[in-house]
Amino acid sequence: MGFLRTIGRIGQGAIVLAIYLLTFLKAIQSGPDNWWLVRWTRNNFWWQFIVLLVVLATVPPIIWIVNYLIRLRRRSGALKGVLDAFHREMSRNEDRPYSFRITLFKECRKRWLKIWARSGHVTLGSRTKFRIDPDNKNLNDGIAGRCWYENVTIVCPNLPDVSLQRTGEEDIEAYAEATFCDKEKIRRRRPTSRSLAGIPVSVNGKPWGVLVFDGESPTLVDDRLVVHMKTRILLGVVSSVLQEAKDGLDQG
Amino acid sequence: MDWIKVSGKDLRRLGEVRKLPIKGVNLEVRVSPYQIPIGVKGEYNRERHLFEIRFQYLDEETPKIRKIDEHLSALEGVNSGRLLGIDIDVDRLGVDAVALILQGLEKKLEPKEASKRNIPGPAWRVLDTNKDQLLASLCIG
Repeated sequence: MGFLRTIGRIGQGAIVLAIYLLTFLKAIQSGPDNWWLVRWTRNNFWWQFIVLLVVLATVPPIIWIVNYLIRLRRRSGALKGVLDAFHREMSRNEDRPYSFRITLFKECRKRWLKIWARSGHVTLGSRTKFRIDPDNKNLNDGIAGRCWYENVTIVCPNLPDVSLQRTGEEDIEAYAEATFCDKEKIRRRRPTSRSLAGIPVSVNGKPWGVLVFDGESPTLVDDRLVVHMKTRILLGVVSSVLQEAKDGLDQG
Repeated sequence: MDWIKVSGKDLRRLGEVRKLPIKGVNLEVRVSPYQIPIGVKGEYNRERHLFEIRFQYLDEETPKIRKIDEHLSALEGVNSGRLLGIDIDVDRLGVDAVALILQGLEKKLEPKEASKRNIPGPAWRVLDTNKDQLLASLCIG
């Protein structure tokens, strides 16, 4: 119904705009003959009408889209700040803070989980995404995909080291099966994470995405970290930031 | 009344771990933290003449009321179906009956559908653990 209403509003707007344009161009046409604009309008009336209609009709949606994207970026930026603060807090005792990472994946059209915000300053340009499918469990890739599908927290410590070229086939198979990934993908990308955890994120009781912790040490990300009070606070903050931003976007 | 916070120890206990061994890697699976209440409170509402029990979760959700009988209503999450609260007509039932009701609530308020997004167990366990404190708040209030 929302879609039909939007189409109706766009159509209504286009008709009003067309009437205004016609009136405007007709008014110009009735001007003195020695004005170049009047002569030009008389010669190319319909072309001018169509071009102006298209240009004027596309300007408001473009402004709206740009505005929407800017606000989305701000929202993602705010969450990055939250993830960074928690990353600093949680890795205070770590010798190598960047061996541990927090990534927030957002569900996109119930087909993909895409990176929305990530802690730290490295691998921020990563385009990692996981396939999801609400109708088929086996088509949900990665720890993130399984967490999203089953709505559970999954902790995966002590993964074999597959980052080296000489890694055996058995280790690659074990890594792929334990992380619900394709074997070929693991072989190609050689992930360095040795411990992983995924926690589903909800906003107003609806699934929104998945928060993934990954560490380069086999025991860095464990069950204690997932149930830690700080992690709960992080989840609460993430949900409230997203809820506030959603309310803001709905209103604005 | 302030929220009675569920302790970290209780939170760990409520989210039982299921071990899933896959080719030498031990996966640990537990219920979503959004399913487990982090707090509970009970308060007598003088305007509505109801004893209101409320659960606090990590995210806030719009509630919808499900009437169980003339003295009892459940507040459920509009999206997840989680138990967000219970309203008891304490004026008609009396305080003693409330204690009995709280004991047998679990069966009475069974959710319409338990699903991946609605596992009622943790909320009941939180209620059961803090039953005495909730009743005390009713008596004081």
